[in-house]
Amino acid sequence: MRRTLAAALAAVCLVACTAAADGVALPEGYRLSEYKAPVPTSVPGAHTIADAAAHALWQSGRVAFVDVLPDLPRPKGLPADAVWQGRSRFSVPGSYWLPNTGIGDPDTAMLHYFAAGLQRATDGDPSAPLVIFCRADCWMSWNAAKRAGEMGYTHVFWYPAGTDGWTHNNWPTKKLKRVQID
Amino acid sequence: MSRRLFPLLLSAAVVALPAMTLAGGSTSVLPAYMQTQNPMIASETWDDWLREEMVGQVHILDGEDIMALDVPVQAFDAATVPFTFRQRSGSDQRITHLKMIVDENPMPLVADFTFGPLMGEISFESRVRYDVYSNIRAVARLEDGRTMMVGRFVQAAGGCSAAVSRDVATAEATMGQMRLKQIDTSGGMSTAGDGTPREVQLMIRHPNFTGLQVHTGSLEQIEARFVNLVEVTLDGEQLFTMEGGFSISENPSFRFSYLDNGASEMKVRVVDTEGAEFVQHFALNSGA
Repeated sequence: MRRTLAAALAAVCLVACTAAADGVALPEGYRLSEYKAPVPTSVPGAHTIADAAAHALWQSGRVAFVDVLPDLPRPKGLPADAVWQGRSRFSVPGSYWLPNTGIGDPDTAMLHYFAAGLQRATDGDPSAPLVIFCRADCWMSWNAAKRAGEMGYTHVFWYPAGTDGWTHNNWPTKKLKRVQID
Repeated sequence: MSRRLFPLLLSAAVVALPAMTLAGGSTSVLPAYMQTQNPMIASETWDDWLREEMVGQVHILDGEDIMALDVPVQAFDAATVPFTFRQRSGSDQRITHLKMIVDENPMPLVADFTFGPLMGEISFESRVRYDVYSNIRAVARLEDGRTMMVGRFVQAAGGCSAAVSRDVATAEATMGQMRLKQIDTSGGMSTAGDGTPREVQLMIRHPNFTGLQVHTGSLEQIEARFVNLVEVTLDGEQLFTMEGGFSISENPSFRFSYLDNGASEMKVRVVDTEGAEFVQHFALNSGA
C-alpha cells in the first residue's frame, strides 16, 4: 500500500515538474471575483496535477480529496414550504466537500470552517497529501490550494481539471454530503 | 399502435416469453412496451429522505402497467427537456393526482397536479429543467387510493442556472401573456359536449426565474420568481390544477387532452410567487 502511494507521488512529481508555465498570470494574493475563468498552470505552495495523477492518488486510497465547489444558496423569493436541497454534487468518491471555501475573501467563520475541514480530511497531519479541486476553469480551487499551503500543509496537490476532467475519463462519481463542522 | 390491438399484442408477448427464455436467445424478458432505454438508477437522495418528503410512508406500486413516461435519454438544452406522461388505455382507474419529481434538482418537486374527471385518460406534456443528470419520476395517485410510480434517467445538466432566453426586461414586460392552440385530433366533426377527446397546448409567457440565474453583463443574481399555480377549467369544471416549482421551464407550456363537455370557453388562471395573477378566457370552437 505504501509503495503504491510512493509510486503515485513520484508520477505526480513528474507531471508537476514538466508542466509548462504560460498564459494566465498569477494574482498577487487571491482571486476575488469571476471565479469561472481560465486559470494559471501553477499555484504557489502546491503541485499541479492532471487527470492521470489525480486518479492514481485516488486509487491509492490514502490521499484526501477536497472539493471546494460552491453550494447553491436557497434563492430569495422561494416559498417557505418549498423543499430545497441545494446543489446535488456528484464528485470524486470519498471527497470532503467544503463548499464555498475557495472564495478570495472568506470571513472568519468560513476560514474556521476551511481549517477544520482540512484538519478532518488529514487527521490533523499537515504533511498528509491533499488534492484540492472543483471544476475546470475554477479559481476557487486555485485559491483554496494556495490557502492550504499558507496554512502549513506541505503536500498540497491542485487538480485544475477537477470533476470535468474526472468525468471526461468516465471515472466513478458519488453524491457528496457537505462536511459538517460543529 | 391501435389501442384495441394493444392487449392482444401484450398477451402474445407474454405467451412468447417462456419460449424465448428457454431458447436462451432473448436478451430481454420484458414485453416491448415496458422496455426503456433509460430506466431510473439507484438514488440515495430518494431512499434517504426525498421519498419521505414527497409521499410519506405510502406504499408505492410499479406503474409501468398503467402509465408511460417518455423523456429523451439525453438533452443538449437542459433548461427545456420535454416529458410526456400518458395513462395507458384500458386502465379502469382515474388518475387524480400526479407529482413530477427530479431527484437531483435543488428544488426536487417539479410540480404537483390535480386532475378533474374531464381529463379522462391522462395525456400530459410539458418541459423541465435539470441541474445535473437525474432520475425524473411520476408518482400518480389513483381514484381508489393506490399510488403508482414510473421513472426514467435523463442525462442533462446546467438547466437551473441557464441564461434567460430573452433580456430580463422583455421577459418581465410580457409576463402572463397566454396562447391556446387547439390541436384537433378528432377531425372536428363530432358534436360538442359528447365527451369527444380534445387536445390543446397552453403556452404561458413567464421567465420562471430560478434564483440561480444571473443578469448577463452585471452577473448580478436574478431573484426567484416563478409560476406556482395554474388552474384550468371548462365552465367551472376542473380540468387540472398545478402547483409548480421553478423546474418547469421558462415560458411554461402544457399540452394535454380532455373530454369535451360542450363548454364554449376554457378559463386559465395563473399565479406566480410574487402574487401576480393572470387570467385568460379562451373561446373553444370544438364541434361547432
